[in-house]
Amino acid sequence: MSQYGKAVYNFAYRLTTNENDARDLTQDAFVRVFRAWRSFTPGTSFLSWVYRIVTNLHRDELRRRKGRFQEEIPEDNAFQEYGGQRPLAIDPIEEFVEHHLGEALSKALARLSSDQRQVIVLADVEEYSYQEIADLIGCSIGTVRSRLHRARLLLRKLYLDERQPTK
Amino acid sequence: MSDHLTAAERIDYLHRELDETTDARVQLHLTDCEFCRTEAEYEARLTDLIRACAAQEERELPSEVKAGIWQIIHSQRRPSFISLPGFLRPAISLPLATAAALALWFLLPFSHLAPATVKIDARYFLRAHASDVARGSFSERLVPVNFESVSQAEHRLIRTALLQAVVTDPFDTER
Repeated sequence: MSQYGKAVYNFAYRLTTNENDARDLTQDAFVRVFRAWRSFTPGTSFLSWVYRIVTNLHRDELRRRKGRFQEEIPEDNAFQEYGGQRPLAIDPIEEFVEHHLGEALSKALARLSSDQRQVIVLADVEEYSYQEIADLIGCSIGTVRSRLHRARLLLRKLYLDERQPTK
Repeated sequence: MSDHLTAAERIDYLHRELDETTDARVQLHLTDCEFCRTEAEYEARLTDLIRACAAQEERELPSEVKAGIWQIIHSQRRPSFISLPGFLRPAISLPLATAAALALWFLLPFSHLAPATVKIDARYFLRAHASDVARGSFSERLVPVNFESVSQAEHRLIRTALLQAVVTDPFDTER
């Protein structure tokens, strides 16, 4: 768990976009991993198997709630947003710009549907191939392709919208 | 150039999901078309930003989540025999098995403890006889056996004795 815990937790966080749900999702996923240990096929990627469990649990939870995961309560202290560790930056202006770009993108990502965010996280953050994503989330490669195209076009639009006030 | 790349082609190109021919065509187009190159660079920049944003938000698994997972796992982990039917649980099955073994020991006849009957092959006596004859002196071997002098009754007695010797323990006969 110590080896994969962080990766799974971050993956869950990117899917749910809030810490409380990410914690619950990670916990449920590892309990499921423990129960279904025998169904894991040796020689295949363990992390992909756990990600599949996380995506299935996330989907089930969304169906159960019939909507989105709860919104994150805003933190009073901005430093806690990054687990108490600020990213290193030499240039304060660059840091300011990067932070705001990241913030705008985070907001844009949070406005995507769960399925769209999922495919973007898997393709762009985890760098899985379309085929791997299709296997992981249980759909055709064509669905992955079209979902990713739509998600990226929408993200691009939402990102520009988020950046408008700062211009 | 009027025929620009579609957004889908640009996205698939960035994700290296095009077949070789299409990938080469797109690459060639991007070197010639400034509009598509700018669009592709924007897509690439968006991908970089998504990754940077993810890296920036990278966080450690909270210790309470780890503890919660272990707590659930330990609470669910039960000895495998707990799910067995009542009569198969060790607390019940062990005394039952012991009682059954004792009952079998005392109630069954002790036939398995009796010595097995020794059966000697008739060839054993023939070989013994042959060795006796071979060890005996030459003169003894020349003594003729007068079979005519043996009566019918004696003949039957000898035959019976020989048969008994064949089917019984030779050690008993020696006594």
